[in-house]
Amino acid sequence: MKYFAVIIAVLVIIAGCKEKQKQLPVIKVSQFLVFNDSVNIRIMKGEELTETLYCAYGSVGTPVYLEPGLYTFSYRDKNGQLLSKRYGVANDGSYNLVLSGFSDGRYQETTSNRLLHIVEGAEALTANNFRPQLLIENNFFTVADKKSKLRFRNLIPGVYPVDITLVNAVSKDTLRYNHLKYPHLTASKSLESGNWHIEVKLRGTKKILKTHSLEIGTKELITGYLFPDIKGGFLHITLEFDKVGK
Amino acid sequence: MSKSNGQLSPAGVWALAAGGMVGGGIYTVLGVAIAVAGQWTWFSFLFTGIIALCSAYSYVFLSNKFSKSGGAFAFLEKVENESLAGGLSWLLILGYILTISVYAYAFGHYISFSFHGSTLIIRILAAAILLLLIGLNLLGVGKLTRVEIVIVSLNLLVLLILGIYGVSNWDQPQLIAGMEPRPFWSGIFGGAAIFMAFEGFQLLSYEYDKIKEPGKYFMPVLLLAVTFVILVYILVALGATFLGGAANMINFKQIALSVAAMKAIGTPGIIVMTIAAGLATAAAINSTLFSTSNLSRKIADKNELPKWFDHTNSHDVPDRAVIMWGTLAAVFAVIGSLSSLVEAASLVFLITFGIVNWLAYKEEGSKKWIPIIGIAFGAITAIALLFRLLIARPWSLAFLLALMFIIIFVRPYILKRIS
Repeated sequence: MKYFAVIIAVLVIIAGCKEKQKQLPVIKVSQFLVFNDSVNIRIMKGEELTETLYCAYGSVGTPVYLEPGLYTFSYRDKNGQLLSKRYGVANDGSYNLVLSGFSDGRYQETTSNRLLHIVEGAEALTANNFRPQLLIENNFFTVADKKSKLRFRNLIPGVYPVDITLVNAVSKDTLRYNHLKYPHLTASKSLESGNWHIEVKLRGTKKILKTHSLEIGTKELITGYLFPDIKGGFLHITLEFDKVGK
Repeated sequence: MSKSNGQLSPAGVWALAAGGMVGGGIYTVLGVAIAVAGQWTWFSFLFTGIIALCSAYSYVFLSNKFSKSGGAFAFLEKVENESLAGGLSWLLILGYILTISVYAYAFGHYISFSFHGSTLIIRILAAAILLLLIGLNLLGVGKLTRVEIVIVSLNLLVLLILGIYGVSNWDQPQLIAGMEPRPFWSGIFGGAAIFMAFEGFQLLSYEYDKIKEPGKYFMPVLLLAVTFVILVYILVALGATFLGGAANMINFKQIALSVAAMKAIGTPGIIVMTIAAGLATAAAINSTLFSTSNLSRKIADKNELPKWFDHTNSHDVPDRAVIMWGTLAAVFAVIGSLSSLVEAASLVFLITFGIVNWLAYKEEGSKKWIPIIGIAFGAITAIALLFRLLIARPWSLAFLLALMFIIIFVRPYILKRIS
């Protein structure tokens, strides 16, 4: 007991003495709002405009470093309708902000979405009747040596859930993410580095929506976004990947 | 320090009460509370802590008045409300099974996180710790008071260091890092979701006849222990979030304190927190399983459970109850989700504490305001929890209500048929 207390005390003293270099929070904004080629996202701290980001459809934005604090992220469409959300960011934080849904002019939050936010807070997530949403993702992860983590987000509004299967090109190991509904994000799963073949199917059918080959490195968090190719039609989906290193 | 002539000293009572609450509570519920209450998580613990404090008063008041071990079941028997006593005893057993499953779930996650174990490993660990403790209980090694007190002391020390170190690194934006700021009233919803973090103190009411001079010491010591735990929870809620960041606490809610410790001092932090969480949850499982099995035996003795549970093995252990409840908890731990288990257990203990406060209100002469506050705050919290379940998990709520219906209305019929 006494020894344990001494060990803890020493650890705390060591940790206290170590001057930690805090990293500024970083955020990437991605635009998956269907039927919109590009949008401008405004980032405000209080009344002060911090950044205006131009975001093209289907691409992950470049990293923006912010001072810690509370920010309002907003998007105004060509008719002047406003979608805005307030999120806090803090030192050492890394986040992705994802704009999703249909841009059909209905910006008001649905009642079920509002009720779920009241009772579940940060864990509340609904399709919001496919209306536009600004969703935040946290990029913190831990992973074993020689492995990476992979997760997927379904950004195809109005379509059945999808099943995703990955097969390692060499070991033939298989990894599955089943029943991924819009606009949910799967849990991050560990996988070995190497080449992986990805197959996306519509839930309950044999129809393959997408195949893709992905090279996985080590100590990375990879987020795969599934979204419709608006020029090719809803079931022509595209995969865009975001990688965050350790 | 803890026992003299086989009796629990005030220091021992304090340690067991504080340990019974902190044992598995804060390790499992912090991330759930932060998701709901954000920067007001500390208020969640304060609000529900007041219910626990008033209920602790009521438990001790009734224990002293009736000079009897046995908790809520014994109190109801004494006031000759045997049908409610029977119903409540079944409800309590359900609450304890859920609580054990939450601790086993947390044990699996904390141990597995230290070596990047898979989901399968987590489930195996959760089931394995229960099998091990079922085995130890069957061998008659159930209540290890001295060992428990040592584990509680280590556990409290680790949590205090984490909390104090975190608060000394005051970093307000971390309280809402990666999430929307939450309104003040969300603290009540947060508290509703995690109320089970305070249930542990009432296990002491089963040990009443072993407490040294209970009339003199039980009340101040138990109230002191509950107050201390409220302060520790508030300290850890703030400190761990300053270190780990709100979004990380939510995304890794099953192992939130390991993440905070890792962010603070790296790998040594994970090691210390894994040991602390592993020991604390194992001790909490052991004492809850022991108390639940002995409670079942008493209830069966009074014909409120089938006589089948009255059976003991050669070590005088209620073996069938140990195996039955331990196995059921293992099943819940393996198939359940953290939020569902914690919320279901919270609802059961809100009802139980409400009944105990109501009894104390009826029996108390001069300090009726204490159980009244407990009942009022408890009712607000229970309504918030029912609303949360209705919106977020209606099927879980329906299942729980169906169980309660069976306990209240079908139980007498079952018992009549069996007898």
